[in-house]
Amino acid sequence: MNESLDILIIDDDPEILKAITKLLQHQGHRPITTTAEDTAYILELRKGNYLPDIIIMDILLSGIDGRNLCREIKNNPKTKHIPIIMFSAYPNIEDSAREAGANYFLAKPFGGRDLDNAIKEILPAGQTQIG
Amino acid sequence: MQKQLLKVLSNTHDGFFALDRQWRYLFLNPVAERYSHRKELVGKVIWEVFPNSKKTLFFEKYHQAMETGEVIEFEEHIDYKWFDIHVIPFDMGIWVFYRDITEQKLFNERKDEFIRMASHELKTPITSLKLYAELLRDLVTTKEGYEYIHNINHQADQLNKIITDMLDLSHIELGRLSFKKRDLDLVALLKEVVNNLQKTVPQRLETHFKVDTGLVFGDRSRLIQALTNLINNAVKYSPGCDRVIITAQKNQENIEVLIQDFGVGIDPVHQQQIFDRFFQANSTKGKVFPGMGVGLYLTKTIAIKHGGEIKVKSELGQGSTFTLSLPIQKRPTKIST
Repeated sequence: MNESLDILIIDDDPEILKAITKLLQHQGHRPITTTAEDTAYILELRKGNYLPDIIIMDILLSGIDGRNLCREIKNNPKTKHIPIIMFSAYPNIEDSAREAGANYFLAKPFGGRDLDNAIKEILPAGQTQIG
Repeated sequence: MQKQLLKVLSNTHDGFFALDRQWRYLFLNPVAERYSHRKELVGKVIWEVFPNSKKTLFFEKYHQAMETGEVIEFEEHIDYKWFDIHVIPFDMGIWVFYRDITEQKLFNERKDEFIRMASHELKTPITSLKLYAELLRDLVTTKEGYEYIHNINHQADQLNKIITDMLDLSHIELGRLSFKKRDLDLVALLKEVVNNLQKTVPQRLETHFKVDTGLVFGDRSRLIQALTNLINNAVKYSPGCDRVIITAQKNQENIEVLIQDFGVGIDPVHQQQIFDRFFQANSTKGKVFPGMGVGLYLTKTIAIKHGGEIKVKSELGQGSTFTLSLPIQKRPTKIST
């Protein structure tokens, strides 16, 4: 990836958040992490004040189903354009993730290349930053 | 002798009763009486005593056994309890044996839930491992370093495969193994699997495609799993050999994939057992082959769930040929790989 993207990562697992963040930073992106319980970024997202280029999120989050949040983002006129990558350890959850509006699904365990491919896939060549 | 047998049946922990051709009770052991919550049932018609049973599998299966004369086995639940039932026809009617398997069912459900949770918990740290391995790639500068990273990745994938197999096994037990079937080309899928595996195995994967396409109605990821298992098995059990031959051919209404290795082979006494769960041809000529013994069991289950079968021909010291056979899809709707 040549372009630098603002990427919001939502997960409750601090290790996964750290690993994805390091990898994306290494690739030149600007990742921001949040848990589902720390709602500051999610609130700003809902209001349309914070618009990342991509959202990467787990499906199983504490206190909230990631698919509901995904649906909400895709139904909000201010945020519906943001591509969403959802991931889960349950591969058979893919259909419901896509129904909720996820643009890409990653089954755990995924590696750096899988993540890279996912980002390339949802941002077609030539497309620049959206936010 | 008959009295002795009745005494044994009266003291078993399983329920047992006999019905005549007019559906009247001939005999009940104490366990069967206890489960029926009734007394003095001998001579009474079962469907009059339990009219609600007419809507259950009991009614259907007892009739089936009575009419066909075949032994019928089934599981059914009633009054919040699960039973394993064997119906055995005889000249006067049917014998019915049944065992309360509620605890066993609950245990299996809990075990499945535990494995599901454990696999979820294990997949998260494997993801971290793989992501950090990727980060390391740009930090190392030596060939050795790249090799170590490759090994970390490979072992993480192996660990994931063990977890996935465990989960699949548990799902098979509960009849929950999921399949998302659609029309697909098995030959194209085989080419894809061979190309991917060739990068990771030492043997040359020699292909003979005697057909251009092989349309089947199947689950793409499950069929990849089956083909990968068979090829990896051939590789695993033929150490030091230079090739594995993979053939795709048509045989009447089926498409066949033959995977032939020139390795250790399988002892004739084990050739039927190798598809059993947890069976492991562990040691041949002192060489130990690691594994859980679930790959071929899963592969066989996948073949059966596609209306196909899997067979083996093998000779000790000469190698083995596994044949996966799947019915050709005659009326394809949409073809894809």
